[in-house]
Amino acid sequence: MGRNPETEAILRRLLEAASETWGGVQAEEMRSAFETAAEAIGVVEAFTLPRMEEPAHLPTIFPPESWRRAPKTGGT
Amino acid sequence: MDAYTLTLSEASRRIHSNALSPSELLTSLLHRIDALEPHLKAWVRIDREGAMATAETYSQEAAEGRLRGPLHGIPVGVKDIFYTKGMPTEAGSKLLAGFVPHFDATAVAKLRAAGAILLGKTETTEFACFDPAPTRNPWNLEHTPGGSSSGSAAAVSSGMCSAALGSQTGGSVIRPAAYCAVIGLKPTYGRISRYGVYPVSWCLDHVGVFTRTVEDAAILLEVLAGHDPRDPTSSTLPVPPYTKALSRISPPRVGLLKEFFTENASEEVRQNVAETAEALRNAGAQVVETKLPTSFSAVHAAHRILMITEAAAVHKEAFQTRMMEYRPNLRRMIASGLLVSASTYLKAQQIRSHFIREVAESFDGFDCLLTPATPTPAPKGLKSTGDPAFNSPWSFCGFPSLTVPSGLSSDGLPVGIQLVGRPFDEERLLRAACWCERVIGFGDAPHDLD
Repeated sequence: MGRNPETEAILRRLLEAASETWGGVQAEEMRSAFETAAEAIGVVEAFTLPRMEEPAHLPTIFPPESWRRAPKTGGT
Repeated sequence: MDAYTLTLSEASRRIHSNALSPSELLTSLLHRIDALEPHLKAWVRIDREGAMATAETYSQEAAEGRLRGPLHGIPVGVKDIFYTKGMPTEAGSKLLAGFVPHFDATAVAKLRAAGAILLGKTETTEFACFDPAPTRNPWNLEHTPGGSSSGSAAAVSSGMCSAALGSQTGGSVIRPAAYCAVIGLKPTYGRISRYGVYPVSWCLDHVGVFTRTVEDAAILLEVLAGHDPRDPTSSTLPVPPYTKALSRISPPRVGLLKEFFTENASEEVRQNVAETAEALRNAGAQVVETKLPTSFSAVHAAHRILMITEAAAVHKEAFQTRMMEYRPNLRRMIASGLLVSASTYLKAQQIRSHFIREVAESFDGFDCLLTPATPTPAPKGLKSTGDPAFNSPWSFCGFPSLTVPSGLSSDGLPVGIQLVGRPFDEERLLRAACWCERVIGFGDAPHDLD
């Protein structure tokens, strides 16, 4: 299955930046990683968050105690 | 019975009752290592003399009734990304060749304080990423043991030690544990200090353990968990008595996740999970199918962005001058991570926030979630360490996960289930896992190689 146009555009940008930084031969040698990265960037950028989220960082990852609440019923 | 076959808890009971000395236990393990290591290549280095000297001291102390802690005289393996005072820590990379830390990682220090004997350093993929270690799978030498904690999983599986430290950023504890048929536990993010562990990605790295029983994993977690002011992500929540929690187990309520996991698992793995779920149900567990949250569709991509971007930040300075000294997979990963924009990185962290909240709601009514541990048994060959796709979502959200061996494939390779728990509720996860372990009753061991 081919890549969508957005992912192709991201991949082109990555390869251009890589060529500028490390040269065309190196950039091509590392193409597989840029393809994977382009796919991931495409998915992340296309994902619609249902509300404005604070990016996860230390105080937001696990707000204290709230995680320790009991389950609704029974259990081990 | 040879002492090397003992689980951690059984060896500890015998040492505490003076039925076994630490020196006898260590001697048995060293004989085992001598026989198997040429085949398995699980160790970077074994501190034979240092371990023997410590074992002699601890044997004397045990004979006098002086015990340092629950691990008194237990030899352990430590993945070679954990700093070990006075012992080289090279992270599977020529970039760290000859590096000798002047302090112990907190996890290592806690093991030592509890009486453990540092047997040696176990093999890792380069910087705990994707370029394989030389380690082979004890169940079939032609297959990978998984990674990145390759040596720890193989060493515990083959009886070269009863416990070992590992780490997980994607699937580096659960996957090799499942491939090698041992217990792998990755606790909640922040439950065990990461101080002194060479980072892959600060926001995704977890310290984990390899053992042969759930009880042993609980013993280790009790020793390792707790706040460490030197790790800013380390939790201040109190450490419960995990081992005591195992004395009162009952059939758990299990949420069975299918969708992505069923679609991406091999037929044999699918069948094993279905049969395991049925066995758990027949033994009294409530096993109910449940849905993945909608944000799961972006989890693997967002995990990838966080991992490559942070790994690039970790290695940026060295990469500028020593790029070609990195092995190919890591070199490519760092290069791609260096080109990710800050806004994309933060969007991935936003997705992470959202997924954490959504997946927490999936636990309503359940003690744990159940998936296959890996899409397939250990793949053939040593060029890849296998697919972490079933494990990385739980590294991404930081929820605790654990694998229990659940059978063998037609080729005789291990298959495992993965249980996922609520954040900082390892007690509940361990109880559920202990119950499942007893019901499944997996008792096979790798064929002897010597």
